[in-house]
Amino acid sequence: MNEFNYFKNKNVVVTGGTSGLGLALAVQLNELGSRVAVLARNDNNIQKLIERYSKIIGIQGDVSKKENIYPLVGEIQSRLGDVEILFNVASYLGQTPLRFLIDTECEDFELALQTNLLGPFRLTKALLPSMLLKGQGVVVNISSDASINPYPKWGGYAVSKAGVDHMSRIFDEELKDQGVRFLSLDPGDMKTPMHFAAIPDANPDHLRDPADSAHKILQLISSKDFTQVRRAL
Amino acid sequence: MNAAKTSKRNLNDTKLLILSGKSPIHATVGDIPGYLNSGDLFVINDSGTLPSSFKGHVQRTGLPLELRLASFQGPNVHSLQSWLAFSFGAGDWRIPTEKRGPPPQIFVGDQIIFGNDLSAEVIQVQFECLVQIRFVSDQLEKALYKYGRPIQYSYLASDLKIWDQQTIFSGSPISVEPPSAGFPFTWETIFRLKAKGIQIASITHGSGISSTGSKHLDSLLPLAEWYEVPPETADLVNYAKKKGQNVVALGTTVLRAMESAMRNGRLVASSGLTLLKIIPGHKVQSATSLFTGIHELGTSHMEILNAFCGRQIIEAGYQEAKKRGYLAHEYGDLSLLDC
Repeated sequence: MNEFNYFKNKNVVVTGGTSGLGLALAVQLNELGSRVAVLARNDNNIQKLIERYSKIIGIQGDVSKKENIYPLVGEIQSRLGDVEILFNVASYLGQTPLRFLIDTECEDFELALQTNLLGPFRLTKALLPSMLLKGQGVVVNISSDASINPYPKWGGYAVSKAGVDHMSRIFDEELKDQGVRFLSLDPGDMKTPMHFAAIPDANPDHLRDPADSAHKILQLISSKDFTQVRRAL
Repeated sequence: MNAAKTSKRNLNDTKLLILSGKSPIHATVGDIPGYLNSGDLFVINDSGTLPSSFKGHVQRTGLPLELRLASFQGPNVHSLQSWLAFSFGAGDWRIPTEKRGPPPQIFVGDQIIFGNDLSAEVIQVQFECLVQIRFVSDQLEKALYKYGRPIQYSYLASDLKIWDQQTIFSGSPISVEPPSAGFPFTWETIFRLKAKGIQIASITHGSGISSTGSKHLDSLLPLAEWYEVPPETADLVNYAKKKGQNVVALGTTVLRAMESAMRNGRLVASSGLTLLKIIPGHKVQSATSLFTGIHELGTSHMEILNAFCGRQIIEAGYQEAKKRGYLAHEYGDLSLLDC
């Protein structure tokens, strides 16, 4: 049996699904027969995506703002239905070139927390009810090695990702007996717009293709190995 | 009965009035697992609430109005086009609808304009200002949230936000007002129920408007409302009833949906519009117990409660609740009818 049959006919949401890892996940899940809704801020990027992949549902919105969450969830519920797998991929790196923490604007730090930590928390909280009522569901949060290693200049982003790791662990501890599992995954350094924004002179030959990281993530979920919440791929 | 003045939820500390025909029992929501038994079934409404007050104007005359959605008309949760609605004279919610001017005349075929990307066509004028509409938009869901505002309650000290209207079970946004009996619940309480062997099942019911501000219009309530009883819930309810276990409905919307889907003493998986009015004399077949808020005597909700427990028990219980300072309405305290 194909190890990826697990994803067939599943209702899946991918935030940040028009570029980088989010795009790779959305495209692969679409090919595996999932019903995929992509959330992204940029409407032009959404239009380009759905022109190419007609089955993908494109939903424009910014998860960093509290007032957007229920409108987004209402649109997801109406156009997709009850969500079975949620990928919180959308991330904000911070102002580039990256700065020391001492030089980081408070507002920029706050935006990193809103986008990378509070947004996923709110969206997850609003989409969990149907998973809990059905007793099954998976939430995947995208983390980073910066959540563990104190790299200079990755301050706001790194702090938010450390929060994501621990939020995932706590959610999982509280809800695993209810059939809903959480992962916080470090996908490795990838050839993505975000990575080049952070490190403009990064050598592309040393970076992963986001499609490879997406494939590894889907392999992990389909294996149903949830023994360790935070992992590096 | 005094109304709750704030949407802040007391959760486990919310007062719970238990009426069973004996002396009323005074407990709290945190005590609920102690009053249910292993094998009982707890049925919830998983609908979310849409901001349902829309300011617009009639295209034919240019006259302004407030269109307040009154109930979802289906045919399923993936189509948010068709609704019953009341048209009111233009004005803020702080101006009671009966103190506004009359709403502009509306005829079948009229277009009501809310903005460049949302309008509604009047499909039927049912009764004075009660109309059936069909929304028109290229991006309907987005436009509904762009122009819709939460229906507000004059007894609350501050405006409700969209998140104030959602219960912990909130899913498809087909309710115009929240199925509020769920407000005091936390998932921790639900997990405690499950740990005790109480199963949780869901129905979906588009909770309709609870009040219009006009006694005349309120006499029309409840309107036709859309519901769905899924097969797994029907099976669980029928099994619990066969085993003599309690079937506990969380809220009158759950009761209305289940009673509408009863056929020959069995709950049948089904969906559609219900016109059922549960009034004294109606023999409740689906549920053995009902959680509901504390309501004002004389409202349509009270008729359902009277049907469940009998007027005498309800009124005596409510008199005592009033003395003990229970709070009424959507964000108030809770009662459990176990008659």
